[in-house]
Amino acid sequence: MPDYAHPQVLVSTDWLDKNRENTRDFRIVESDEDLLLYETGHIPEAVKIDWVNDLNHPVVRDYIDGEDFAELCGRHGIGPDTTVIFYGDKNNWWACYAFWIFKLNGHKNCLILNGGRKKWVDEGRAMTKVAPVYPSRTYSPPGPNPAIRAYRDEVLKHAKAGGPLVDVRSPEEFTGQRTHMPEYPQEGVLRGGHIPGAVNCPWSRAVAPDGTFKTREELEKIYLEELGLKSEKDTIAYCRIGERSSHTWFVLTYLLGFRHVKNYDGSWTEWGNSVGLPIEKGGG
Amino acid sequence: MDGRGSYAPPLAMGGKGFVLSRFDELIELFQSVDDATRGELLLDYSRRVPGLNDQTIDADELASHRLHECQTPVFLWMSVEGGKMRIRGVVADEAPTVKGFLGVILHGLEDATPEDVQSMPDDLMDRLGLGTMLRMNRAIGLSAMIARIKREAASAASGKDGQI
Repeated sequence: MPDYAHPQVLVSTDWLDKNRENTRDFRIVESDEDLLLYETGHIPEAVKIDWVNDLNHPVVRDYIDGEDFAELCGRHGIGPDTTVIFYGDKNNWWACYAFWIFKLNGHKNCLILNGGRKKWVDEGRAMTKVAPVYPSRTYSPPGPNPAIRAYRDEVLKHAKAGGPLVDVRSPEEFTGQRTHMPEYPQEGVLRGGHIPGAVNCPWSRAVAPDGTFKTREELEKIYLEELGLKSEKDTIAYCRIGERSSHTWFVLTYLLGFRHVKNYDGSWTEWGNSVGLPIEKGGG
Repeated sequence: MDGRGSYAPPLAMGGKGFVLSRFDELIELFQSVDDATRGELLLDYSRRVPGLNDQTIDADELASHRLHECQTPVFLWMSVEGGKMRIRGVVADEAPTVKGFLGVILHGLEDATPEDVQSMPDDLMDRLGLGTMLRMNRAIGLSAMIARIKREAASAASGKDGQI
């Protein structure tokens, strides 16, 4: 993986297999869309961190932070100096989301297993149903890292100034043809379309058939040539609730070396429901 | 959290059909345990539904039986034989939660008539105590599954024996 801007944030399945028993320096974390997938089998040294029950605030629409984040880490034997290696289902979709939330909370060393759960399973590597338990640690978070998160008003200012925005939802959601799936009224939004000026690129285009990230050359072709994004410009990525866009945030930041990318986690479920915000339709 | 906050009273009352009483048993079972055990129960039921990896069904056939309401690949075949609903489901292997929920539904609807299907509780997920565990983000597709099964059973009930 030498071509990427920051290749050190990725580890290969081979590397992880050789180093997975070093649980003193590393903590492997599985983060999946499915609540019970970890229980059906996981990398032997991996602990489970769930995006809903562990990382989301139980009441407010926000992520855990401060003491709650410190408690979660400490419970899994993660200290401030522990390197956390994330992997998961759906091409690391939720692993990148967990990675972003750890970074948002200021955790220093975070890595992604290239190819995620799929590649590990496809290669027939060791799996177990036994959840490991590690001695708990005391963790005082170094303080949040708000520079990677965009809020609504800031996105509005950015859009008005013509700043680059990447909408990583499906083309149907982008054009406004679809606001919600049939019988998903609660997940729906009142207006369809996209933030004015945004370009559309479904997040999964960054992934190769074996679940690993595409090569730098292939990624540059999509994000730089096709979409016209520029690595030196401040860029904001969004989707429906900020999970798919954390994958694209990872790709732009670490694989293509964009100077400053923010994930707008309020995303379309906030924008498309807010009064008076500008919306563009069509253009898919 | 043990999910008891979402406890709903059992459905069984005198004169209710057997589908209701079977769901009552399931609800009682799921409500009697904590979240961790409830997860294990769901995994047990997930094993009763075949995974997509074991199947040799062609792509067109799969596409025409896919439940588009679910983000997870879920496929259903429903037919009426001798007045009873025959329901077969296949779910992506990497979605054990969805597989498990469908396993519960299929268990509850064994030998049901198309009319019986309509009495399946719409809020089954909450009644099983899964609402708090899954929260809204994950729960919506599962509720859609119930609506879809009822709709298809209703159209089966209006016709004769046959496949949907």
